[in-house]
Amino acid sequence: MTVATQSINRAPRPSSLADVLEVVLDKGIVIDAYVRVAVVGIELLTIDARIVIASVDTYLRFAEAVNRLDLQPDGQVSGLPGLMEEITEGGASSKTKGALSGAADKAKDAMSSLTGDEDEDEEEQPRRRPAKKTAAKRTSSSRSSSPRRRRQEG
Amino acid sequence: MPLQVFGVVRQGHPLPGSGRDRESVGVRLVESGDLAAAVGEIEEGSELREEDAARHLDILILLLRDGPVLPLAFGTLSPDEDAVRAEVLDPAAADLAQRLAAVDGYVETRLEIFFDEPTALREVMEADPDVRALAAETQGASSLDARIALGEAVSMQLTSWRQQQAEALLETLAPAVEDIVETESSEPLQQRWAFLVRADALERLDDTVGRLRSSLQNAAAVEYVGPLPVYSFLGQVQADTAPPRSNWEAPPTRSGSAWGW
Repeated sequence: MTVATQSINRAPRPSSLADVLEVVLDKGIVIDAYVRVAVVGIELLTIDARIVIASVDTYLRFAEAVNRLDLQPDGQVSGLPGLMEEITEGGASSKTKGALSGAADKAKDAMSSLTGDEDEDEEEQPRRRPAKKTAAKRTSSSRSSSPRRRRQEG
Repeated sequence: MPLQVFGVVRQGHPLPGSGRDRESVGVRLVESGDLAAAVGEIEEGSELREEDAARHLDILILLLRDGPVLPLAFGTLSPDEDAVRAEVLDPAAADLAQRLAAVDGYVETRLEIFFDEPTALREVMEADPDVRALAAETQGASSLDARIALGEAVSMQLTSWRQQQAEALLETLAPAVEDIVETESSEPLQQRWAFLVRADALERLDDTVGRLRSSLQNAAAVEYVGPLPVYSFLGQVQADTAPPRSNWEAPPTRSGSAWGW
């Protein structure tokens, strides 16, 4: 019985190519003598950019998800904020679709959903302008801090 | 024709694959003394791609079934067999043999736990009035900057929430493994570990992971992979056995790696 569970439980290797790359790339014993390491046909910049874009995409996805949670304090969902919520609802739902596909964790998906977001922002700009000033003041400092990229593995 | 060098094994190590498959795997051993390098031919001037990385790993996994394997960095090329002997195997023969002995009987497994986002978000938001206020402020009418700032704040809270969950899970897992390395993820709700496991104790870890999986049920998605060569513990194996220093180096830990992970 346990044996059957185990074989289902454990995969011989990572299911996605991205995870395979993570196991293999930049790992293993390096020979720094005369045997050379081939230039890999995987663009370093693409991989680097993938991390940054994925982080921003993740942040946007969380922001959307949190706003859908409907946890705001009592008495604030009225008047202008309430009205704004109604107006932007259409935009938010189409954005959510884009963000969800980004969650598939593929760089291309992340890239396109981010691009999608930007396009929508341009369209929605006139409607959003009234509230933009206060929001921007509060957060202008956080924009410059780049998404953290840490690495602990040896 | 140039050779791609996959890993170092003991002399006489069975070729990967079985029976007729062996030829199609396209791997042969270049032997020297007690050691052998698993190599495969590669077209002159050709580039390695993602599929080649997958093949590299697959070959090492197959080799691992029959005994200890030291993985070489993906993309290690040699002009010919003589160079493999002269530059890979012979200069550090004693060190390699010692390392092979050190990893003999050990494998690596990886565990990835992706916690359910709606559950985590709700718990975090209910516990943190500051983020809740920020969310209310940006509700429905925010700039891209504001939304990124909110998302970043939420992300940080989710990360520490995940770390708390992970700590509890680790108490269950730790007794079944020899060593643990935490692997960073760009996803706040994704917890990843590499485990050093005795090959003969793998079943015990399987059971533990199985129990953990059923206890988590829908609260998280679990991916459990292995056995892999002990990629994450090459450095430690070296420390344990204290081999003589040579021109061999385990890959250094670089926090600012160009690879970004």
